[in-house]
Amino acid sequence: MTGRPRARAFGITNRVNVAIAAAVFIVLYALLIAVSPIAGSSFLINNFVVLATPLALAAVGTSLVLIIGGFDLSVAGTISLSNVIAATAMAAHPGAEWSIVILVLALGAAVGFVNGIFVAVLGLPSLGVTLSTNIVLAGFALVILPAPGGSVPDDFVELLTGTVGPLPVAGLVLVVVAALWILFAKTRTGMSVFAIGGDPSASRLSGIPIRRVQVVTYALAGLCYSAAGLYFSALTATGSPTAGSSFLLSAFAAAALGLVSFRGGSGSAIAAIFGAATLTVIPKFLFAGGLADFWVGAFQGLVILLALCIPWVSRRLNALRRSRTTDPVEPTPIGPTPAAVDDLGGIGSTPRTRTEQHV
Amino acid sequence: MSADTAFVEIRDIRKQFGATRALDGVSLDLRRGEVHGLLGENGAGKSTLTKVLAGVLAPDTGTVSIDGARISLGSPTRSRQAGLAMAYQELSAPPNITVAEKLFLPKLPRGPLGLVSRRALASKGQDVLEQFEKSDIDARSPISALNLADRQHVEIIAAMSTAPRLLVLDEPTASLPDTAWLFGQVEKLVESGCSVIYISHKLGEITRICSRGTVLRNGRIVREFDSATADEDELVEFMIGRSLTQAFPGKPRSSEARSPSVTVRGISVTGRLHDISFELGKGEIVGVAGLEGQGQKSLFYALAGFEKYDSGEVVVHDPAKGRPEFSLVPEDRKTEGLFLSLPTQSNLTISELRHFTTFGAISARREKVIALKAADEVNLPRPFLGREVQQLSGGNQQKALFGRAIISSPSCLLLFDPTRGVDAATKVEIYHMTRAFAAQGGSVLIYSTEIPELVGLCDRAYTIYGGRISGEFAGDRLTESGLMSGALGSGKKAKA
Repeated sequence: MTGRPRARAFGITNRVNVAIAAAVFIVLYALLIAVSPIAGSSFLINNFVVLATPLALAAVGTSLVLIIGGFDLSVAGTISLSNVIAATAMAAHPGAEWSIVILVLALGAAVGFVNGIFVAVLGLPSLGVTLSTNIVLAGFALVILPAPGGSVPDDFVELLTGTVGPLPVAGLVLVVVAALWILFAKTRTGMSVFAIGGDPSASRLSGIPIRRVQVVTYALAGLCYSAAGLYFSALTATGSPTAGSSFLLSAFAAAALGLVSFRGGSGSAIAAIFGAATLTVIPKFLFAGGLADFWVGAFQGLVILLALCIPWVSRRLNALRRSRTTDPVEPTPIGPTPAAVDDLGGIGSTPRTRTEQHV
Repeated sequence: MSADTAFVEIRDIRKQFGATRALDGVSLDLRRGEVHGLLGENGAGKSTLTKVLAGVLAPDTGTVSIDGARISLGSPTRSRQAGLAMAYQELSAPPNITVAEKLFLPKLPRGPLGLVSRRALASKGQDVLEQFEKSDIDARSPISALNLADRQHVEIIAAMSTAPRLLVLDEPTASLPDTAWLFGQVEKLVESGCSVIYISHKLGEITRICSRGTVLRNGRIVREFDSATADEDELVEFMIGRSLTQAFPGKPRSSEARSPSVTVRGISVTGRLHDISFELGKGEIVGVAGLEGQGQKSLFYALAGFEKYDSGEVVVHDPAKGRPEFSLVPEDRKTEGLFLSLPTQSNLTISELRHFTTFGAISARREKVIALKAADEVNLPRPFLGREVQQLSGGNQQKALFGRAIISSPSCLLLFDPTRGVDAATKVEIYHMTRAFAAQGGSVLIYSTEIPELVGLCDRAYTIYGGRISGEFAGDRLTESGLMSGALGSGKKAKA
């Protein structure tokens, strides 16, 4: 086993994704500080982390479902519903905010559970199922709170958006989520999520209880969305029935910036968190640079496109390196080269190589 | 329990899909430590039986018991717990997991906190690989980085390492270059008291490794045999339901001078192919033999235009106007060839779209004409045309693919392992269709993993090794041993 060329083991590739996503964010934030030094102040850093957290939590859920090979559009509806429930219930029952938090989180998990049942047990396409549940949830949100209103208590806001010593609470929350992700990826269920995303029928034949793992994954994703909705409530201190709609595309964009595969089977929630941070820093950066607001969307889209090109670049680099170092006699993995697979529109008979799978 | 009574009892398994009876009352008895051969062409019900035993498919009726205890069917987990293990023909490893993960799925070993340590997993995986004498496979390597043979090794080791009481090997040598390793491992396993159901198309293997066997046809048991006394021709007859007198069509006299159809001059693909030159004559069937991954796939895909070559040229002599120069029947019909959810008719005609469309609108009438012509040429029963191609048996799917390739009348037909996973009867039909195509003046380049097939079918053959042509064989020199030595890189480049 020594001396033979090996594709990078799977854990490492995901670590590389985290490093790339983190580097992109850090570079952009450093540029922001260069343009506007006040962005480096602890007050603005805290503000920034709080602002990025709802999207980061939503992107973690989105990534989970993407990795298992599905698409979850219910992110928007779940955030809206969590937001309006928090804003109305907390206003109506002062002092009960923590019970309400638990209730909302449970509701998010339950929404995900229902999605999971439809997808895993009934075998329906995730895109259609979650599109429907998203519409249903958005409808419920409108029933509960037809127009923006409601409020959340100040101490709830202060706790979630405040600091512990010099550290933002939101940052700590994200660190805990990242740690939980690392642990989850080491559980049997977590590892099965990747296997199912890679090849569901092979996973089934390998003895993985794929239905159970799918249901758990969608439920965890729902939990993440409701956590995002709660954080959004603390951020805005009010409720809006359309609170979640802006999260739909941006959660997927954050996952894309985190190099989470849209074909399933690879990705890291931690990278998605950095993706969310990148997406949040872009408008600030443009604002500091004096560009008009309406450039924000164009620039965000451009950065996402560039992120999508990273696997392509690394594939070309790998191919270049291979052609320089390997002798034709070297045992090569069977099947067309990644490039050939591309030319055929991805028809490959053989499993895609790691790098190809990103998005 | 004495050695003579049944250790594994499979009783009256029935499974129906729509109108097809995939399994129609199958019963098998296996003694402890017996290797039992299961023969049958594709669609005979072997894979369905495997999946029923695995618990992946619930049978309509029937029971399975091991050592007197009945197993409840229909749950993969319970089948596993009862000591059943499967090595699937289609190789059941997701491409993105590591070898070690596959070896231990679904019960990955957990540490004290209930978490899976990658390092411990890799080292335990390496131990398992060593135990099964495959320590050259890296347990940390992702499945996608393995060649097909090693993927098959991992599949088999994953099944064997669960210390099963009944192991099912479904076409275990489909991608293995040599069977010695497999047979050694099976013998070791059998000594520990495990029974094995060995499913194969290859009669020679069955008679070597199995003491007894069963022939399955159309979901029924049609014959049981003892390997010691079995007659191979008779078994084939039972398998396909008719005699297999003349497998290969007659070859035209080799002395005839052929005018060249395709000349390949020095094509290279960096890292895969090196300075490949050869010529195909009109009406000639030329074989390519090689071990797994010697560049043959790049060669075929480069000729078909799916892969770019860096240098060299391919000349097609007097190409017919409006006709493709090359037409490829790819290796994996399900992922590279067929549109599984489309009707068979569309699968046959899709490359010919421009011949039955006017300003982009499809003429159903003209499409039907082309589809019928193609179906008739490949003996595909006409009623299948309206069915989704995924509902057809493997052999009929391959015929559909073959029909699509020849209906466009290419100058040269590229067949990449066209009989893989195809039943014996369809194989014979494919040989005859290939020869008929050549007889009409087309040339054929065919790669096959089965060397006897190349010897029986081809007018001439090349061997490929390390991305280079390592030998050319024609006439009397076109023998199994010659091709084998060329494939191993020891053949000399010489004309017969």
